[in-house]
Amino acid sequence: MNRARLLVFIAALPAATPAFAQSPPRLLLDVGAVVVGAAGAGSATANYTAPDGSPVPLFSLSKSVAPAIGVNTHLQIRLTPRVALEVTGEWTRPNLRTKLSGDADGADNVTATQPVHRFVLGGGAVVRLKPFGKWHTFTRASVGWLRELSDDLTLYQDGWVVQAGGGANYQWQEKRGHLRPYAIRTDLWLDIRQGGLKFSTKPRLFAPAFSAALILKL
Amino acid sequence: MSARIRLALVLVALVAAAPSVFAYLSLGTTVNGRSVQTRWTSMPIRYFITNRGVAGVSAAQMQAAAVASFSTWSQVPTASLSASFAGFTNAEPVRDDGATVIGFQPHEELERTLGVTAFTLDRTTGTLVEADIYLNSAFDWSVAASGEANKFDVQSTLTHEIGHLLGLGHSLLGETVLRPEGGRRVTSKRSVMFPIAYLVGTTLDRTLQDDDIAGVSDTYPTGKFLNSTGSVAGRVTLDGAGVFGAHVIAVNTKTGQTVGAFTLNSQGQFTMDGLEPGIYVLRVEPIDDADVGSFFNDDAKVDVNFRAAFYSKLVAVPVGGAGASAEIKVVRK
Ligand SMILES: [Zn+2]
Repeated sequence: MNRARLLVFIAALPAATPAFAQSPPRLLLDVGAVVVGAAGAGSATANYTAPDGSPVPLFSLSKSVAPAIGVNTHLQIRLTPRVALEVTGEWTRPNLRTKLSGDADGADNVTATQPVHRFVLGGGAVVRLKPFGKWHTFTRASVGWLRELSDDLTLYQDGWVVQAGGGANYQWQEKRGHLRPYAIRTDLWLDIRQGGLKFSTKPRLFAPAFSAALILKL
Repeated sequence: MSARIRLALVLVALVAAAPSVFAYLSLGTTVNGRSVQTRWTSMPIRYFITNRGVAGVSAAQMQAAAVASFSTWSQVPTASLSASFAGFTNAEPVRDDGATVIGFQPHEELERTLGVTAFTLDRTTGTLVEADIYLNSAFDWSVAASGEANKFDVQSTLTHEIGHLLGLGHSLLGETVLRPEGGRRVTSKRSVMFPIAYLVGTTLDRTLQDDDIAGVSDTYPTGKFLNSTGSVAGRVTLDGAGVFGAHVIAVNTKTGQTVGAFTLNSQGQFTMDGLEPGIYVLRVEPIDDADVGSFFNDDAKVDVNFRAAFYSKLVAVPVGGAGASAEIKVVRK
């Protein structure tokens, strides 16, 4: 990079103070790590039937989805200085967990697990909010298609996910040229999932999620 | 058919002779050293009803109950079978006359036997050619719509016996307690094909359970059954060695569908078919809620000396096949 031109650019930055006065680049790509929090998946009993027709528990199941880590990526296409469309991709590796207890024949309690793969492909909108110094806050919402696969990849079932939340980009001086690191993005959102591997007795699962990513200017 | 063989409810002998790898217990036989499933190959199954009722149940009421029981099985959407009433007869059930006959018969000597199903099968193919059923008229019977106190329900008992007639053995999805006067009392169960009936007065066994549905569908599968269900396979081991005759149940974590199977060889291997795709819990227990003889013949080396246990992993059942094999480890009591 040409050092002289860069210095000139930095000197010019403080002048660009009014919010949104400076439009972000048209295309931004980020890649980062994601953590999706635990979600309760309901409880159930494995039942037999008594002679009077009432259920008799054989054992109890308490189900949850353990916290998962993975990677995610967003491609942002700016429409206006404030609004951008965003395409989201995400892969995480959650563990389905079922605590088995209260067995009628005295089997020891066990927490049975199955690690699974979860893929999300979604799209949504990002709205820029007021910046605080180098922190540029935003809010976003997206809807995605969800595919979950068993550990051995033999079983897959699909569903939907809605993500709503916000975050902030820590944006340093814009560098010219393509594929330049542009900012660090931190995101916090609520993950609302429906479908996927048939496991939960709840219609929808709710989990907090967080990601940190490096934004590249395309 | 020179090779026809008479088998009067030697269900257990059939089972042990042909370790079946199906869910529940399917009856099997050995043809030229090869295990084959015992089933009907031509439909509809034509049956006669004996022209003789008992106190409180006429021959016509018996016939109506048989029609209802057969249709309970034939209406399973994933099973392809049919039956038709061929008429009343003076012939007795359990007679090798080429006709499938259902009726009452007095058997005072069988103090705890409500009903018996006997087969005639073609030993060269394993195909069923005749199956007779009698209900023991030494007991009091009822056809009342919602059952009758102190009487056994004809339709419930026929539904169990017709399950045998179709080629199903016994299931172990039930819990019992020993009775002071001998025998066992069912405290709860989840299969019409459990070898012990509910006490008098209930009509619950008119309705098939998941395990019965998986069993009949596996014996007479429709294309939909083969294309929409999966299986789970694995082993039950104790100190690394296979356990024979262990009862494994699979419970769907979302729907609660519950199906059972047995380990049927010395490696402790089992397979369960007819499961909805999804995530399952596996649990293993010894045969301790019914006589081992209800499932296996007497010289089978069934191991009942181990503790009930859960498999430490959840099992994924894909469509049209099996996922990763499960090894369920058990310990001595
Ligand atoms: Zn039986």
